[in-house]
Amino acid sequence: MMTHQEAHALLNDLLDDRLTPDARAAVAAHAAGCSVCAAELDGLRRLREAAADLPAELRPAHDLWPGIAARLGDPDAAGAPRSAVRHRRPRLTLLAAAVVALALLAPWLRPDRTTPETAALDAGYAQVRRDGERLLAEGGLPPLAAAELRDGMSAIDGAVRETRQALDRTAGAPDQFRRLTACYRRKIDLLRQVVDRAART
Amino acid sequence: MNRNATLAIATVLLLAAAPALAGRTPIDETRKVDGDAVVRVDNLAGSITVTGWDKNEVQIRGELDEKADELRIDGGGDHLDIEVVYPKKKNLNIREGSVLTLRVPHGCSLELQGVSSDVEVRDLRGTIQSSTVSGDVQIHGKPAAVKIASVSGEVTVEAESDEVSIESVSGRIEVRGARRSLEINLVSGDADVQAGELERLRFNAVSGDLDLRADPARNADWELDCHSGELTLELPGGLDADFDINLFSGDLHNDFGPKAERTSKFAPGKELRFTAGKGGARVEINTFSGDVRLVKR
Repeated sequence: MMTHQEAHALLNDLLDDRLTPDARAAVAAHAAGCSVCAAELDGLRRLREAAADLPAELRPAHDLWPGIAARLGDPDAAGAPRSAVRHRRPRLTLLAAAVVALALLAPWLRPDRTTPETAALDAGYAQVRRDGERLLAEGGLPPLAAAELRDGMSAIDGAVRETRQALDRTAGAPDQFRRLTACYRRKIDLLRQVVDRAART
Repeated sequence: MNRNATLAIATVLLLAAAPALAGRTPIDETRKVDGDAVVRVDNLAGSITVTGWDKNEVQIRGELDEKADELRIDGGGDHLDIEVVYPKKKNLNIREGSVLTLRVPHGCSLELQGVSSDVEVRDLRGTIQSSTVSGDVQIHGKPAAVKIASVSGEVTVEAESDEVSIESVSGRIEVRGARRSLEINLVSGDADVQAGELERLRFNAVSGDLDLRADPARNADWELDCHSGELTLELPGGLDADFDINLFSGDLHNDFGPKAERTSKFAPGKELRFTAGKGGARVEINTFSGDVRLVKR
């Protein structure tokens, strides 16, 4: 059974058809019963459809500026051959529109920098975490060991979350990226030790 | 009330009080073993104290918890298993646990296990392994190797040992005298290490701080990785080492050389690679938000 966090992180991959059949089924099953994931999946689908409908290049059918200038009562611009303003104003307008569009679409346009290596680490971490959650759910641990396992998992969760976000920010710096993936791996090892030790008690 | 009725009532009361009267059972057992035997001790709660001696036998003294079924002792020769056996049921509600005080040959190796047992070991030359949850662990002497897994107990290793490995979640760790190889894996506890010359050092922590005072050996291989804890390394002034330091958002205080620089114009993070003295020992440090202090002593 996939957790909400795991399923949520894989929604993009589901749409990209980059999941194994098992993972695909698990994410789809989760999204079917989770309103948050279902809404996000729907939003992602609509965004992709809208993006797919966009032409590769946008060009105005004809020059609109003389008409606009005439309506604005700018005889120089309306009658005269188009000068520098002709180029600058539409560009500035387009730029402003692009900035506004990017700001509005920012939540949807988070760059997907998942590499095979980070995907493997994410999967490895999710697996160890599942083992820890199962151990807690079974209820056989001494109370102190259960509390420490919970606290340990929470502390490592926070560290992994920060590391993962940092990986996204350093995708353009290979050396930093490599070091952070090594740190991520060591945190998974640490969590594995914590879970295994709890299991032995 | 007639005499028979009085006797019956007295008998019932005595039977009812029997467990309380029985209380804790004294232990006094001895077994012959080899001088380098492996001794395994499993005591859920209470304490395990082991001291080395010159005889080729294991002496077991102490008190058995009133809720325990028995003290089971199996083996002899090259191994001896000692286990406090409890009834197989949940919610035993153990209060004091059993007290086990052992004398074993100096050359023995130990495998100790418990949940809330305190562990104390002295004067052994073999390998010592201990796995507990909340008990405190103390190791003293010159064991060949020490391997400790604890969850929240305090761990103290005052041992001239060539190989020390400690795993803990939140317990405080204190190491004195380790040499050659030291490995510490820690989630949120702090570690205070005063070691000798270390060839191999591995420190992996999330939020725990490390205070380390040690000497890298000539061709040492040190790797320290800490997410948000602070690393303080007190190192000898005439050090020969190659440093490779990476910080994502933490700061570096460096008595040995230059400051850390931005890794990239486009990504966060600072790094510093430099050679102290003639180089040779490799010291790699990675932190995320934790600070690093390299202090010359």
